[in-house]
Amino acid sequence: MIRLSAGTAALLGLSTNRMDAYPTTAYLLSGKSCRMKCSFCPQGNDDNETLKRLGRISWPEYAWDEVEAALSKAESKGLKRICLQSVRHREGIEPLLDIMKNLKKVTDLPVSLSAWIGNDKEAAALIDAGVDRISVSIDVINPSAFEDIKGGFQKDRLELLFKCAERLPGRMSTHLICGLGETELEALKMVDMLLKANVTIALFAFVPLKGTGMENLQPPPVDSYRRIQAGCYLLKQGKADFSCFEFDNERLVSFGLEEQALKDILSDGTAFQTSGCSGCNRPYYNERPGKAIYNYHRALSREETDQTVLQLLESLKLKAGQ
Amino acid sequence: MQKIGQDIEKLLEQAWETRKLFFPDKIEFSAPNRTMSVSVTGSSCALNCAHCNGAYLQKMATLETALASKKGRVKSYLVSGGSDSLGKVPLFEKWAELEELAARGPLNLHTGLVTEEEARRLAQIATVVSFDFIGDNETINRVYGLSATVEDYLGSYRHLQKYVSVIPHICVGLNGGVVRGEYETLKYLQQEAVEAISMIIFRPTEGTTFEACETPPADEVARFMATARLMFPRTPLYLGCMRPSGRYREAVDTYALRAGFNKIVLPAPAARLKAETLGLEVSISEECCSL
Repeated sequence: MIRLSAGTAALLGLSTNRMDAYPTTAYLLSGKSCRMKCSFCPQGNDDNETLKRLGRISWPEYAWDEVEAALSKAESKGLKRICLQSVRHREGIEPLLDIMKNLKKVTDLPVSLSAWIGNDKEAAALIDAGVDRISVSIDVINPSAFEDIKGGFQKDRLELLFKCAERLPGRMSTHLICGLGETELEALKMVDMLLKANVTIALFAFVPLKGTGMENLQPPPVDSYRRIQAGCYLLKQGKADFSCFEFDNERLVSFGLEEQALKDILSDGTAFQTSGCSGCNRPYYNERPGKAIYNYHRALSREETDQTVLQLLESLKLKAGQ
Repeated sequence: MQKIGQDIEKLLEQAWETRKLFFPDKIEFSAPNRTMSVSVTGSSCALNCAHCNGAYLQKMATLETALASKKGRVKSYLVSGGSDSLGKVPLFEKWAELEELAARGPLNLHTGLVTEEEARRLAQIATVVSFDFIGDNETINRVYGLSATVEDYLGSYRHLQKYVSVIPHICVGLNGGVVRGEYETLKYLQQEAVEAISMIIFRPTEGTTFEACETPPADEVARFMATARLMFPRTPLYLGCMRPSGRYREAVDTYALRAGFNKIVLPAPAARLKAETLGLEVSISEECCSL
C-alpha cells in the first residue's frame, strides 16, 4: 500500500475528485502514524481521522499495482518529479529502499525523498538506490521551539544535514516552516546559513491542523511570510546579501536594496511561488482555496504580482509594532 | 587594528556562530618543526611562477640530504618541488627515494596536476596530498604560465580524492594580491567531497614578478574566510604557513579565529590572546597542518 495526495490521485485518474489545481509533482506518502511526534503534524497522532492528513491535504491509500500502472503514465500527465514522503518507520530506511526499487521500474522521473534518516550513510544508500534529492527537514527555525515541537536538538539535525550536503553535494534539501515562534531575523539567518551551505530550501507557512497539539494556534501573518519569502528568494538568487538586511526588533525592515531594484527583481512573481525542488508546486498545502495564498502553486498574474510586491514594500516601511 | 566594514563584521559574527554550533571550543596552533620540507627537484623549477620564482625551494632540503640525515626529531615530511613545464611535480623520477622516505614517516605530498593513474600510484606513498586548487583560468595562465584550465585542476582533484586523503589549498590573492577566482574555487569545492581546506595568503616575495604587488587587503581576506566557514559549516578550515608576517599576520590570524578556523600555523601573538578571549582551548601540534 502507498498513499497519494488527493490531488495526485485525481491527476493520475485514481479518484474522480475534481481539483481546483493539479500538482506538477506526484506526491507519495509511505506509512501511517510516525515514530516522531512533531506537534504540528497529523502523522504523530493515533487518531484515525487525524492520520488521514499530512499538511492540509488528505492522503488516500492505494494498492501498489494500481499506483504503479498510473505512475508509468505520469510523464504524459505533465508530472516533472516524484516526491516520496515518509513517516519514520520502525524498520528504518528499508521500506524506502523497497519503494525506490519499485519506482525505478516504472518511471524515470527524478525522485525527491523526505524522510527521517539517521546518518549520512543512509543518505548515501538512498542516493545509490536512485533518489535524486533528500530532504532532512529542519522544520522549526527557533532552536528552543524545535525542542518543544519536534523533540531532540536542532543542532544535531543541522549537523546531519550539513554532513550530508558535504558528502552529497547538490542533493540535499530541507523544509522550513514559518510561524513556529521564530523571529524574522532568525528565519532569514537560518535561510542564509542553509543556502550558503548548498542546501535547497522549501519554505512553508505553519498551518494549524485539527487533531494536532497546535490546532488552536495561528498561522503566521501573510505580510511577515512575504518578507521571509522575498528574503529567501533574494538570497537564493544572489541578488542581496544577508549582511545588508536590516531588522528592527528582529523584524525585517530593509533588504538593503533600492525600492526600484527590489521591484525589478521581484517583478516576475517567482519569489512568491512554491519553493524547493524543481517541478514542485504543492497546490493549497498551506492555505484553503480562496484564502490568502502563502505559496502560489502557479505563476502569478500581473495584478497579483503588483499587489503582492506593493504590499511587501508598504510593510517594509512600517517599523516593528506598527 | 584597521576598522572593517559592517558587512564583514556581520559575516564574521555569522561564521563564528556557525563554528560554535558544530565544533567544540578548541583551536589547534601548529608549529610544524617536526615536519621536514623536502624538494624533489632541489632549487630548480621549470615554471618559475610569478609569485614564487623558485624562492621557496631554496630553503628546502634535497631528497638526498633528507635521506642521509638522521631522523632526529623529524616525524614527517612535506615533499614538494619545482614543477615540470606541465605543472606536475616530478615525483615519479625519484620514486625509489620517496618510498624510502615514506618508510621513515608520513608524507604530505605536493603533486601539482595528476592523471588518475598517477593519483593511484601516489596513494601508495602519500599519507595526504596538499593540492593547490585554482578556480580561475586567467590566474592559472598569468601566475603559473600554464595553458591548463580549471577543468584540469578539478580533474586532478577528483583523481586524488578517489585514492588518497587530499587537502585542497587555496591561496588568497594569488593573482598579484587581487582576490579573483577564490570564491569560484569555493563554489567548485562545494560540489566535491572535501575533508578539510587549507588557506594560504599571497605574500609579495623579492625577486619575483609580483615582488611589488600588495598583499590582499586583510578585510577582504576576512570576508573570504568567513564565507568559507559559512559555505562549509562542518569542514575543518586551516590557515596554513604561507602568509605574510608582521602586523598583517596579526590582523588576518585574528580574523581567522573569528571566522571559525580550526587550525592556525604559527599564529601571531595577538591571535593567541584572541583565542583566549574567545574562550577557545588551545592545543599545540608540531607537524604540517595537512598531516
